[in-house]
Amino acid sequence: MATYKGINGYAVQTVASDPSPGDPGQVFYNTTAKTFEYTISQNGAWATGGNLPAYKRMAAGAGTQTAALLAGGGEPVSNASFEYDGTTWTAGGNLGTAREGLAGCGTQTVAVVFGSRTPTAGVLTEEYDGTTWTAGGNLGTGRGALASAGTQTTALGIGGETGPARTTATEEYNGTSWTAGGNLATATAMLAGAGLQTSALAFGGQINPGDQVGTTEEYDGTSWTAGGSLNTARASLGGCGTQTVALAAGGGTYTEEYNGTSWTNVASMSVGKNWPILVGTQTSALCAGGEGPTATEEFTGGLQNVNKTISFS
Amino acid sequence: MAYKYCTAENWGKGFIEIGESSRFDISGLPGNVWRIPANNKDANLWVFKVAGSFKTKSEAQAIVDAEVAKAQAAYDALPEDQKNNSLNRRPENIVLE
Repeated sequence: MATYKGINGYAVQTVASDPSPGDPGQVFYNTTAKTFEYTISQNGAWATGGNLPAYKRMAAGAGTQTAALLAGGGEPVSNASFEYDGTTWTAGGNLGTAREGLAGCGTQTVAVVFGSRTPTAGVLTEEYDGTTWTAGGNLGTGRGALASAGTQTTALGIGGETGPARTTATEEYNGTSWTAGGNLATATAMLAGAGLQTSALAFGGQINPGDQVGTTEEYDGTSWTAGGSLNTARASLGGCGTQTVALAAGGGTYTEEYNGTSWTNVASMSVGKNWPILVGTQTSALCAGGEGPTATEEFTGGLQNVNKTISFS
Repeated sequence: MAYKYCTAENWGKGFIEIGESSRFDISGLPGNVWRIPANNKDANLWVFKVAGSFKTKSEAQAIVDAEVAKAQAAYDALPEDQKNNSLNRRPENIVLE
């Protein structure tokens, strides 16, 4: 019978405690834990965060992993907002208008949300100061299930549904009013966005009912051009980060990272989510809400070598 | 790979930590059912930490089936116009591995 030493030229190391992860492929036996382990190179990992107090799908999100905002969403359609401090969600100010399928951007205390899918394809914009929502300028094209990028005073509304139809419309917000930007190449709804008003990313989505795409488009403040495609075509996902350092998660448990050229699969979420919010950066993100459970998950990115326990069957 | 199943209530922060999801795969299923690798000490320790209750594959399948059936019944009860709404999809059956 072949032995490990016979194949590799050296025996499995025996250690009393886990060594720092070394080279991927290394195998060792931990005599204290009585486990065989091996080292792999893994990109990112998810952990659970504090559960949302209520079920929320197609809400708007803003902020970071430890200072996030979730506003609106359904179902039932709600005007509630919630603030996350890295551990717990607490109630924020109520939106002036209850809605689902809106988009948002900015920070926890300086945010903007716009559009809606339910009750109607809407134009309403509201701005948050950490306590209260006040009305902003209306979108030129009423729509929901759209994507967003930017900040409260330099926001971008991307694509979405104007009813049964998808739209290519992109609009730019200056803190007061919306003006038309360059159109997406393909009318898409339930897509995700990342980045800033002048360097944004739009990816995934649905171009017809049931027709999900993995296409990515990059915006330079004027026009959209094609980027690398997601590895898994899907809609109802979330996006965050920047145009060249972005993260996509949701539309299932899939998580992918973008480097400005191509998407790479990284660690999957434990619980699949459709229509969640995803906020933060590629290396420190928060995924919350969405269809299904109220679970929140926190992503920590970065390539690292980790020791995994070997399962025997 | 062989799997084990347990039920446990996800209490939120700390239920699954980075150090755990890095060392073994944890998948959440309907009905608070969690799938973990079989014969994996770290996974077993996690089940102990979360006060999980081990289930046989058929017991776990029954729990998942019941949750999916509930969701399917809720979808079937929707008015036709809402069924045609692209947000609402009939939940699919899940077959445990």
